[in-house]
Amino acid sequence: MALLTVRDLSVEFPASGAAVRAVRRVSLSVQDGEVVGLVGESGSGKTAAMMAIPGLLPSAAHVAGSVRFAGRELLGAREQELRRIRGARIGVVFQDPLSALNPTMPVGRQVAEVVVHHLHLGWREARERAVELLASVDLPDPGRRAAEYPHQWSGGMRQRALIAMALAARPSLLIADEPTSALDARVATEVAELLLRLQSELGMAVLLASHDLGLIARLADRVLVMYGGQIVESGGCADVLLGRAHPYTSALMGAVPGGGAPGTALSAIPGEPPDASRRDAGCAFAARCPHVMYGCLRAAPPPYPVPGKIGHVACCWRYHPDAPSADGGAHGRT
Amino acid sequence: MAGPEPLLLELRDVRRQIRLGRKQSIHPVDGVSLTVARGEILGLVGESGCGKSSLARLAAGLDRPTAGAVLLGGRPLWDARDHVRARRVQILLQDPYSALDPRMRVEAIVTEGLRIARRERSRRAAELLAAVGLPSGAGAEFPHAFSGGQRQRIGLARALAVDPDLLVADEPLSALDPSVQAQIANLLLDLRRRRGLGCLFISHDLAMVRHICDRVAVMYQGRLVELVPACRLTSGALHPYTRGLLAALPNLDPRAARRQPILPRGLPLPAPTTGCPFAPRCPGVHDRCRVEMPAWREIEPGHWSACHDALRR
Ligand SMILES: Nc1ncnc2c1ncn2[C@@H]1O[C@H](COP(=O)(O)OP(=O)(O)OP(=O)(O)O)[C@@H](O)[C@H]1O
Ligand code: SF4
Ligand code: SF4
Ligand SMILES: [Mg+2]
Repeated sequence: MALLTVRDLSVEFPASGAAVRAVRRVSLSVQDGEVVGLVGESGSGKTAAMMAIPGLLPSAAHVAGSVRFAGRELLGAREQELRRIRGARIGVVFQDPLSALNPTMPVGRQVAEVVVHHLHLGWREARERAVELLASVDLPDPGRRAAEYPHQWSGGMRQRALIAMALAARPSLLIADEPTSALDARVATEVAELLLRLQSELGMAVLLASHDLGLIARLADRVLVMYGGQIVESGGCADVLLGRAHPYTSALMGAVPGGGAPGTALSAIPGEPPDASRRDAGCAFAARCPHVMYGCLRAAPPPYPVPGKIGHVACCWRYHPDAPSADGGAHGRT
Repeated sequence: MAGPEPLLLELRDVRRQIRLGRKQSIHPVDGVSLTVARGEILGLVGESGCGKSSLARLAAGLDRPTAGAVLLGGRPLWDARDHVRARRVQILLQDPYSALDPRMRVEAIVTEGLRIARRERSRRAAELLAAVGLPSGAGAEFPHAFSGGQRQRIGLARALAVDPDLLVADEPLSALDPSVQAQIANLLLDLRRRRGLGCLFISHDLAMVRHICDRVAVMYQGRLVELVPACRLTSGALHPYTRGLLAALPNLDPRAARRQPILPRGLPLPAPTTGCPFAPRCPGVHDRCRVEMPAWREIEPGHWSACHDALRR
């Protein structure tokens, strides 16, 4: 059985006009020890989906569906139980390491607090454990630096501290939302290497959202592609990133510089991401898709297994035998 | 014939010293000379803590150099009055979370630097927001309603509002998704072509730098170690540090990405007091490197490097 199984997860944020439907019936699973990458444009719902899993969305958000973690249903669980699971079984790392730390407390003490809470150690032991944890994330001179405050640390050091806190209780799942995008290159690479090392040492599963497709290519076993609140493609890392099965994924990969002549325009995806408060018939990508067909506007494409690839699924009518056609029947490629 | 047009930005042996105590001090920028012409995008790369952001602040006139000169259009930037400077040079920072005042509407944020009538304001804000690809309704919202990528675009709209000559952009794309990165890169290319906007573009993304920049400066521990035309970066880089950075260029093919080498590990070591600052990490270090500081030399036209072995490569 999968460690995490999400079924038909929906997240809505109430708004003055129509509610923002940030996540729309998303289903996914994460196996023990597996690294699953989540990619997609800004606003596609990655953060909303990831934060809904451990119950970290603001209470105003409407969350529906099912989130089963290690055999337990998390949606609707009591806050007290969620809090226990979050520290002990699910670690969470956010994009912005400064706002996730308490500015008025030395970092070492904040790490120690997590240890006291979840490992039930006394303060003295917890302090020592905190320094060990900071050393395990390659923080230089942890004994001395533990006494410093967050603002005295660089962004990379803060992110290391957050990783140390998230991993203090050796969780079986780490949820990491853009863990490196607020960091500069080298530090980002180091933090990525650190995650990779810790992942294999601790054998934990990781759900990782990032805009950095190079990072995803390096770390992920499987990749999920989100568009307009839905998962439009999923499968093995190389199959999804290089397989050109879904036009949206191809467009996203095509936006990365590399191919064209220097100084020429890059291939940004034309048009705007879909309005999160609207509900259209048909494929959400149709307005921007270079391959759009008549049927794409009529019905939303269902998940379709990409031929010849195990576990690779794309929601696109392009190769689907039952794509609606202008004459009312399936367009039946021959 | 008229004399040559003065360079848009010129840094002459610029230093910035920060005193830590009575005897101790550090030099985030330790003697950097470089230029940005009108309509040029100059890339600046280097790892964390090498002084890129300190250099950006000097180039934008936010900090005063301890020594050396920062000239804009041939005149000392630091002597210009604040509002004049702000009209000519704008800086865009990486962090989309702290850069915007959460209590101001986007419309007011974007047009903050403009002295125009209130009615004009909404119209101009809408234009600017459209130019960076934000929906027309965005002006009426507060920053918290936007994702990281959208906030970065608001920051860019604000920087472009005053129609500056020079944009100093410190990691402006790293928090953005690939499509928005491409969109903003295209916007920069367009502004430089149409308006002659000059840009000091600081980034860790060598693939992006190679694509949009004309020349690339590589910084290590407060100094430039290489300055190379972007078209020569991949094939012609001479400094071992630049080559190390290139080897870590992200690969989108998962099969290759997993085998990828990473720069020699370790936090920046303190620079030795004599010799080449890169010597402790250089795979090609030899005796001379440890005693003699390599000179900053032009190796081929427009291509500078500070390495004893540059000519032999
Ligand atoms: N607290 C909130 N209140 C209202 N709307 C929200 C809230 N949080 C997110 N949204 C909206 O939900 C949608 C999905 O946002 P989300 O932050 O999940 O995107 P994302 O994929 O993580 O984007 P990014 O890559 O920029 O981080 C967006 O339209 C966003 O504006
Ligand atoms: S279903 Fe149609 S519009 Fe949607 S991605 Fe596929 S081809 Fe494009
Ligand atoms: S001067 Fe010597 S140590 Fe410095 S980069 Fe060149 S080869 Fe390496
Ligand atoms: Mg997000």
